[in-house]
Amino acid sequence: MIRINDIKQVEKYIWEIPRGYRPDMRVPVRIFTTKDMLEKTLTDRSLEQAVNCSTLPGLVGKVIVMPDIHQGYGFPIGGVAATQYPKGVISPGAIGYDINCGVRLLASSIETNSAKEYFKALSIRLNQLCPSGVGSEGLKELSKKDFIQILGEGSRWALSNGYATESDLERTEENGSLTGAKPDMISERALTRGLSQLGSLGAGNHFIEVDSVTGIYDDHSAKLMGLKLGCLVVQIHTGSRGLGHQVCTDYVKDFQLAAQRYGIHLPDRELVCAPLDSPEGTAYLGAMRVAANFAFVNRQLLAHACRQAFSEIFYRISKNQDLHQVYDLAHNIGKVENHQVNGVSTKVCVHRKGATRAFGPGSAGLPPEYQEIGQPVLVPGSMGTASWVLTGTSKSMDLSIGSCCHGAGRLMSRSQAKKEIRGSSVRLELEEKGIHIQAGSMAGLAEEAPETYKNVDDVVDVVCKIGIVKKVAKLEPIIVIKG
Amino acid sequence: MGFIEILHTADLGINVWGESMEELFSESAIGMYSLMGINGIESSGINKSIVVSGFDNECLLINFLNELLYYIENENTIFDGFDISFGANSCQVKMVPHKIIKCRNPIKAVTFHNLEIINSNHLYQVEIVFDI
Repeated sequence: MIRINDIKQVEKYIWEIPRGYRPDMRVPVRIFTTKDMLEKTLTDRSLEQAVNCSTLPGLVGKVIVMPDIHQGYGFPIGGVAATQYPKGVISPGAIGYDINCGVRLLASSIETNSAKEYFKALSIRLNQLCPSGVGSEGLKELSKKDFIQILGEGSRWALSNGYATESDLERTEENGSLTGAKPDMISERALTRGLSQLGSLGAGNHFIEVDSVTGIYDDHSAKLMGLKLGCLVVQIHTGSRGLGHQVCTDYVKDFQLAAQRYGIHLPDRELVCAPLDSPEGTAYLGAMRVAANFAFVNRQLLAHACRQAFSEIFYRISKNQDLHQVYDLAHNIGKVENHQVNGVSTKVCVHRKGATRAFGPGSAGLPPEYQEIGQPVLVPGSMGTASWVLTGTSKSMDLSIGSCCHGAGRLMSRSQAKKEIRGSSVRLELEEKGIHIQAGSMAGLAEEAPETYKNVDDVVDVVCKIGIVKKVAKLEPIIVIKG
Repeated sequence: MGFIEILHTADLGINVWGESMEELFSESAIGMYSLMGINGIESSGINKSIVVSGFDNECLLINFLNELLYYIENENTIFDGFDISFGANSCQVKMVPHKIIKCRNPIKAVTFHNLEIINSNHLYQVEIVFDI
């Protein structure tokens, strides 16, 4: 087990496990955290998992660990690692089963105070229009042929079919469509699982949330994003559902043999990997991009449903019920990007698991209105607590492979939560705060209770003080839809 | 033979043991179903036989459990009465199907995290972590 004495403090909020800690480490592990948070992190195996990750062949720079880190399987949640392209490896387990699980933020001009009497109706209508829960099925009946087209095109299909605007695509990471998606690289089983689930929220920690903008910290950036103090916004948190899970399952299985073939020995079989330019690595990259495209379209269809709900409910009080997109980003993904490595611009494969891209001003791929301020970074808090809108800085490119944290990070196991917390009490506490809840299960509410997560304000403070992101706005919940 | 839940911050896991590989596999399935809180089972008819492949026993175990997950999600079916026979890089499983009424805690996938089947004093033991 790693102890506090094994970790050296580099700066106030930056710590490092040096390469010398274990002989199989190829790079150091950098941890963004406070001393108090670090001591709590040492009570689970998350840092050990980060050290395991540092043994992957072809790693460059450092493995980065965000302040919302917690134990995962293979790679910790809240971790970032980059491998050389194309000779380094790609690891499906270091990206995760819910490929392109991510968040979308939509903003409105509807004033929270004027809308209060409609919140209950809105929560009911959102719950009706947005399928959620275990095994939830999607919004649309699709043919297999159409579905395969969607997987190849991503959000461009949604635009062509009236579910998206041009602005939605411009304000989505990679414009909602990863180039190089290969539907023939996913199994028939993955296709079957995904076909019935497109346009559904799922369960677990996935949610749709209506929030009020309660704080603005950067007027200029907020204005460019269309965020208004005292107005309603919507967050959608979901991913690639059964399709993504099956893709990861299939390739973690296939890579077991591949890793042996390429002479790759790892401390954890969940980190199994193959060279990016191998047939296996190329196949997985193509399949992973398919799953990512599914997730972008999934969130787009749910956004379309949210827009319908807003339109139906709020036409009574506002001429403008529009929900315009602020941004959509992934927090479980592998991306081929250019980063400075030892002062040289280098193509790398960035693995982000429970971490988001946080590109600074002037970065390629940002829409024109965000070029001067940097990419929006969305950090939802735990249920019933605040969420944050931030922007990436040029420092993130230097310090964190253009990445940031993704949420609050779990503290308590789900089993412990169900033993110690009653879902009905969670519902009551949230309702007493004026938050409307639509939840599929009481056990699910208990598992997602606020006290099972770290304080998101503390997590955001760390990344802001390090300087990889800046605060733009704070959001507080009014309606929570959970599966 | 038996299983016990292990604590994991965000996901679920079990520690499983059995006096043979067959028992280990059966108990792993029962443990996974137990974590999922599946109940209200009705019996449903013709027995099923599947063949699972994998180059070692750990692969076989994970691939077997992932097959069972697939049946839960896509056919609303779980199994018991496992009759497992091992061959070269494969195992054949004959099992009795039952329709599910309710599944409280879905599991998305079975992981290879820290997976190692240990055989000590004729007791087989393994720790399995599930993604939820």
